[in-house]
Order: sequence, then C-alpha cells, then structure tokens
Amino acid sequence: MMAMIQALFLRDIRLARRVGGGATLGVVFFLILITIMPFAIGPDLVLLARIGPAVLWIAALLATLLGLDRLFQSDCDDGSLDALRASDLPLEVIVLVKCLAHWMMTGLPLVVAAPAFGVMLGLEPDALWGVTVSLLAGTPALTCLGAIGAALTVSLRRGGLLLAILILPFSIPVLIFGVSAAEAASGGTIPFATPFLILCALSLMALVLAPLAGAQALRQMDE
Amino acid sequence: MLKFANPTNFLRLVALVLPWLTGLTLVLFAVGLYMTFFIAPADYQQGESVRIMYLHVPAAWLSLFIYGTMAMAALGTLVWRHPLADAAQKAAAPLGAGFTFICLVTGSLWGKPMWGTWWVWDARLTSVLILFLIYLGLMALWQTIEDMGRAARAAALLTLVGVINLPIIKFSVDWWNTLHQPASVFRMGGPTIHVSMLVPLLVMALAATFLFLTLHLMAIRNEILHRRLRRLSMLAAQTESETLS
Amino acid sequence: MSDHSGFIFAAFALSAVIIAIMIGAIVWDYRNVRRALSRFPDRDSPTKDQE
Repeated sequence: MMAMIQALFLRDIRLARRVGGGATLGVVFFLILITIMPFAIGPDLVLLARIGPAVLWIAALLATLLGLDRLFQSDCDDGSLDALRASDLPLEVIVLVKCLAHWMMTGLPLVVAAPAFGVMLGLEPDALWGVTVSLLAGTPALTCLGAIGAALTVSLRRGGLLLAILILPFSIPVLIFGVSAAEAASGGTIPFATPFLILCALSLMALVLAPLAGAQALRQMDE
Repeated sequence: MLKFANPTNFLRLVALVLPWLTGLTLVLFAVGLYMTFFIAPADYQQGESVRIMYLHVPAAWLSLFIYGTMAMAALGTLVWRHPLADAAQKAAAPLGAGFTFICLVTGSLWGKPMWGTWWVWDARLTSVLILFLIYLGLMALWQTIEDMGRAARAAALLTLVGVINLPIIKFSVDWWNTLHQPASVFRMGGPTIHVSMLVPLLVMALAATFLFLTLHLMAIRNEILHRRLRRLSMLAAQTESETLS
Repeated sequence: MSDHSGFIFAAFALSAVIIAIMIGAIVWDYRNVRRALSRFPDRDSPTKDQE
C-alpha cells in the first residue's frame, strides 16, 4: 500500500512539473499579486511594511485557491480517477495524497518565495520570519479546504470561480489566525504562540476533514 | 409510480396545511407588530430605535434556524436519498439568504443612529455577513450544477462542511474582533431583557419562523411541481418521437 | 417618535420589501409551473382541483 501511495505522490508531482501542470504558475501569480499591490496602495514603504503580512497572506490565499480547480478534474477527464478508485487504496487516502502532492508543488513554493517578496514590501526580519512560518503552517489548510471545493466542482467545465466563492468564506479563520501570527511575530500585544498554535490546529483539522469530505464529494458526484 | 407517492402525499399535505399556516403567520405578525409599536417601551439607552431589534433579532434567529433546517435536509439527501430532502434544501437556500440580508440591513439601519456609521466590523455583523456569503455560494452551486440530484448532493456536502466550520468561523471572528476593537462596541441586551421587551420579541420571532415555514412549504411545492413538469415533458417528447418514427 | 423614526421606518419598509420579493418570486414561480403543467393531460395530480 505504501508503494502505491508513493507512486501516486510521485506521479502527481511529476505531472505538476510538466508543461501545463501549472506548479510554477502559482508562484508567478503570487509575484504578480504582490507587484500590483503598490500600484493600488502607493509605493510608501512604511505603509507597505505595515500591511505587508496581510498582503502576502491574501496573495497566498488567492494563489492557492485559484490553482486548485484542476486538482481532480484532469484525472476525472482522462479516466485515471476511475482507475485510482478501482485500486485498493481508499478514496480518502487518494484525496489526501493528492492534496499533499499539490501542496508540495504550489503551497511550498509560495512559502519559499514569501521572504523574497516580503523584502520587496519592506518587511523587517521579524515580520519576514513570522509570515514565512505562518504560511508554512497555514497553506496546508488552504489546500485542503480548496480540495473539498475542487471535488464538489469536479464535473463542471468552469469551476474555478465557483470554487473560490464556495471556499473563501470557509478560509476566513485560516486568514485571521495566519495574519495574526505573522503580525504577532513582529511585536504586538499578543504572544506569537497563541494564533500560531490555533493556526496549526486549523491545518490539522483541515487535513482530517478534507479527505473525508473530498472523497465523499467525489463519490456523490460520480453517480 | 411508487417513487412519486411520497411527493404526491406531500402536495396533499401542503394544500391542507398552507391556509392555516398563512393565517397563523398573519395573526402572529399583526399581534407582534402591534406589540412592537404600541406596547414595547422605548429603551432608556437606545430610545425608539430599539424597535428595529424586533425585526433584527428574529431575522438573525432565522438565519441560523434556516441553516439548521438545510443541514437536516442535507442529511436526508445524503443518507436517505429522498427527493423531498433535495427540494427542501434547494428551497431553503434563497430564503436563508433573504432573511440574513434582512438581518444585515436592519442591523445597519440600527447602527447608523447608534454607532454613527452604517457598517461596523463588529464580530456579530461580520459573522452574519460570512453566513450570507455561504448562502450565496450555495445558491450559486444550485444554479451551476444542472442535474438536480447531483446538485443536491453537492449542496448537502457543502452545507454539512459548513456546520463544522460555522462555529470555527464564529470563534475566529470573535477573536479577531477583540484583537482589533477592545470591547467598546455597544452591546444590545445581555441576559436580562425586561419582560415588556421579551414578549414582543418572542412573538415576532415566532411570526418570522412561521413565515419561513409557510414560504418554505410553498417553495418545496414549487420544486416538486417543477420536477413533475420535467418528467412529463420528457415523457411527452418520448411518445412524440415514437409516433413519428 | 423620536428623530430616529426615519431609520425605524426604513428598516421596516426594507424588510417588508425583501419579504414581498421572496413571496412574489415563489408565487410567480408557482403560477408559471402550474400553467406549464396544465398543458399536460391530468393524470395523478390531486392538487389540481384545489385552485
């Protein structure tokens, strides 16, 4: 069973790295979102540094969610999802593995790129560290929540916008605690650990909820 | 035709119950509105604007009650695959959005004279706004997925995911709010509401609940008839093509 | 009434409008589907005679 999981994981990573996989697109989209912010807000570095963690988090949220609509769709289109379901692996595990692979290829690059983009927004080292760590803890939750939406909209041709509308309200807690943790790291009234630990809890909960709900959604949508 | 026996019985039940429900709703609203305007006293702090609360609180109650109804129907869809549950879910979402919108609008109209602004990013208002967005998302899902059964199962899953998530959202919004706004916001009520205010509030809440029940039954009936229409149209098209060939 | 009566009136009026829209939409939908159904030969609709 572990061999199958590993094979599925590596397959998804390989597919994401190929042309049309869109792994790098997420980071580029992230960069573009960061780039257009000063045009909307103004190039004032003091102001940008103050709202920088929030900007980075919003950008990460959008970059994660908008890249997720193909998570199950391409597999559904070419029939490999049916092949996977016919295997011995429980559908829940398949969903979990696909989420992890997707996060490795889109969430993790965002986390790695965040310090560099944070410097562009004039963040101090403390804030840079806070944003990066909070993104590392929070993006798995975003990917998992998005996976539920991706499973629900798997049968739709243009599910991207609908997925965002469905899932964004549910990602508000992650955003709240992510930004709080990022801001607490650079000095604030609350200790860093409080929002950060809640953020970790949210991620762990999403890791449990997403495979269950996602697998159920894929089953329901198939009938 | 066994499959449609239940909806047919349901239609019969609706025809029987609906006049009574409508009458009860009208009476309750008449009593409730009379009490709101002529019996309930003006608040010593809020003055006459407290009368908006007699709309706002029932709407807020309904926004949650309707979500609960929808969650029950969602269970009915997923566990028993009952077509009535599908119809109940679909009928509830726009009503939920409507009453949540009333809650937001009346809250805003209450806030303008009380807080001095139309909108405050207060914990309660923000949570209700998120609930409104979830209702809109569900409506969008119903509109996008063409196949009724499939749409019902998708909406049911999302509703149930929401049941788990709504307390978390409420908790995080409260937390976020205390972080940004130390409890300076004027709070309505508390555990002790005077009886002269509580009774009108309860009557209005009951009236609103019955209004929802009436509208919900009517909307479910519409869904069942739509389904019947679809079936009959397909049958007609089938027989027509058979006679042609 | 105090100087806030405008807000109170607006709140009640707007709520009435929203509720009226909901009722109107449901009744309109009902009329439409009933009219569409009446084109078919009546077989098993017991609510037919209740209108």
